[in-house]
Amino acid sequence: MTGKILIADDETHILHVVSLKLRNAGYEVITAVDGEEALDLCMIETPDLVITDYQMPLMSGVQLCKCMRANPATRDIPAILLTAREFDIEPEEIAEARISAVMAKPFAPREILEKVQALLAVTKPVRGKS
Amino acid sequence: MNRTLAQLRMHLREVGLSLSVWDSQARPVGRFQPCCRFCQFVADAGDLCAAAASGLTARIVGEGRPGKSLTPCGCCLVGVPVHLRRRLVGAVVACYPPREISQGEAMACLCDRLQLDRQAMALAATKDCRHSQAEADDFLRILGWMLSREQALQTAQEELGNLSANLSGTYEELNLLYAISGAMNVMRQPREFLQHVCSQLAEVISVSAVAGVIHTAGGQVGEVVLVGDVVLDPRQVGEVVIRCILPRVKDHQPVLDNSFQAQGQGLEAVRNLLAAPLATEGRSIGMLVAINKRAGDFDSIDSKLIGSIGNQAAVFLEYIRLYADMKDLLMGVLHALTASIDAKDTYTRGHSQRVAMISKRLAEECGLPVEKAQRVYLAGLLHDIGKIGIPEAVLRKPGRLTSEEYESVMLHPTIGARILAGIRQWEDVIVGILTHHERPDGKGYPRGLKGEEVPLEGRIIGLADSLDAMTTDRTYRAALSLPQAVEEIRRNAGTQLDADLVGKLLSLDLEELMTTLDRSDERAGGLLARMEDRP
Repeated sequence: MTGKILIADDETHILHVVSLKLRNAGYEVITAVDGEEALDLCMIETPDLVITDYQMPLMSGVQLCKCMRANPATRDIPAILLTAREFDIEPEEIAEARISAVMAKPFAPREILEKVQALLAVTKPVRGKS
Repeated sequence: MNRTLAQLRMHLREVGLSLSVWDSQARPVGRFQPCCRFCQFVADAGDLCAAAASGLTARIVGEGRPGKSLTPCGCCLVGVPVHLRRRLVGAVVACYPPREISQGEAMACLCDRLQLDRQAMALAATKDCRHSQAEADDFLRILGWMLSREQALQTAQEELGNLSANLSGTYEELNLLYAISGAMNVMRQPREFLQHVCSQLAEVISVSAVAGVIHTAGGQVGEVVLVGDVVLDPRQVGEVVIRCILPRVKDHQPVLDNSFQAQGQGLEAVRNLLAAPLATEGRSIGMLVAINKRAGDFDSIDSKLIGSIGNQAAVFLEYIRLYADMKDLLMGVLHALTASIDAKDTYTRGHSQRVAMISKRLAEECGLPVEKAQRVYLAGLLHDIGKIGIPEAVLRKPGRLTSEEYESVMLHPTIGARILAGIRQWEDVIVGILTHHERPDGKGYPRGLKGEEVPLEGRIIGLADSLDAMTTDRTYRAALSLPQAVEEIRRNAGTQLDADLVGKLLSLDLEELMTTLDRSDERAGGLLARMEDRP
């Protein structure tokens, strides 16, 4: 497996657990502990996929995705949203932020890996051509 | 952040530096502490040190990089910017009185201006002077390193704390699942099980109360268990859950309501709730409801946990119900079957049921375990099932039987045992049926076993059969009174009847036993009457 994945979450245990699973599967992983740092890293590193928490300091995961969509360099990066409060997010917001998948906490690291593999299998060739 | 700075301040004080903290507006955070006795004096006089540190902070914040300066009395100030989440939020400034201070021109001028004794002040300052002015650059660098190290350490400690808290919570959840499956192994009563689940759940997800509500097939409130410290009427909780919450279930998922509106339903004490459906194969049996989360709102983590526990509990509760149903069905069929045997002979109406009850009572008196006593009950119930193969004309014949007729009656234990022979689970029951006409003196049938050769089940049922035969009307004689029957039984102890068992039977309150038997007759009467009404 190849690909660079950005994980953003202010709960560091989530960062550790997800990073470990993805690194063991061969992915390069970078992490951020708030929305702003995640956006900065997105611009600098242009990862192949972003996994972000919903509630984070400075900028929410949904805001982060909306900001990514506004920049040509990061516009098409697929995003997975992690949340314990899915019921608080309007489906329209998810659509507007073009979030590929929403995963309710707690989740199994295996589920995340499967989702990442599925998303990268679909999006990677497209991104390669452009 | 406060702990980081407190640590930093403590370390610096050990080497003679005083640390002050400043916000991004160059205002002191907490009280400003001058570094030496001289400075303290000056500070009291005019906060000159503080003003100098504030000025340095303004420069550091403005330029975004470390800086140094001197106070009006010649103390050295070194400061570094402080970042929080990559934002510049202020600066920390370390201050020390350099050795040069006592000879310095600045101090002399200041003393004159404040009308202080130069020599006394110089002496006071000298005691605190451990470093030279030239070391300021080194201190600046060291301060920067220390700040970043302390911040990193603090972050790591916080992460470790969160990680441990999370791990502990996960252990609790895991343990809850273990505890509930453990309870399935020992609990057989739905209410007891539900109570256990509710109290375990209340502790793990930290809520004020947990309710378990079971509804009837008709959708009425059945069982309600309420655990916790919220003052609520269990019945009312049951009503609201069944009427208002259960209909909100979609796709078998828990209902999560973080702003519950009581709307005059009497549950004003409920602030928020999380309710998992108790359902198996799409059939609802009730709900498991967590009420008032102690900190904050319910989230998907709580929801997944309660959902999973609801599923487990529902499967188990359904299993208990099915088990009870099956048992009822089996007993119903057996009672119907034996009643139909008894009905072949109008005189033996209710006989099998009564023999079963007396046998069970005797089995208990012999100290047999509950399960075993229940088997003896079954054997008692079925003891005459072999009569199905004996002509009614013989069974109903008034007066003496011919020897041929008597031989056919004597076949009924063997026929009964043969009928049930295929039922693997009833091997011990069959033994009782086969041997209930054996006698201690060996004059019984079908095999003529003697004394201890006759299995206990056979001896028990034999005695119960005799007692009931004596106390009811028969084709060949009217019922004996209880004292007459007791006398007859006593007379036959050791020959027809087991002497030990007779002793045990006669020690019972027989009047009460007879009353219990009469009541069971009344209950069975309906069924028999219906059977006899048939053309």
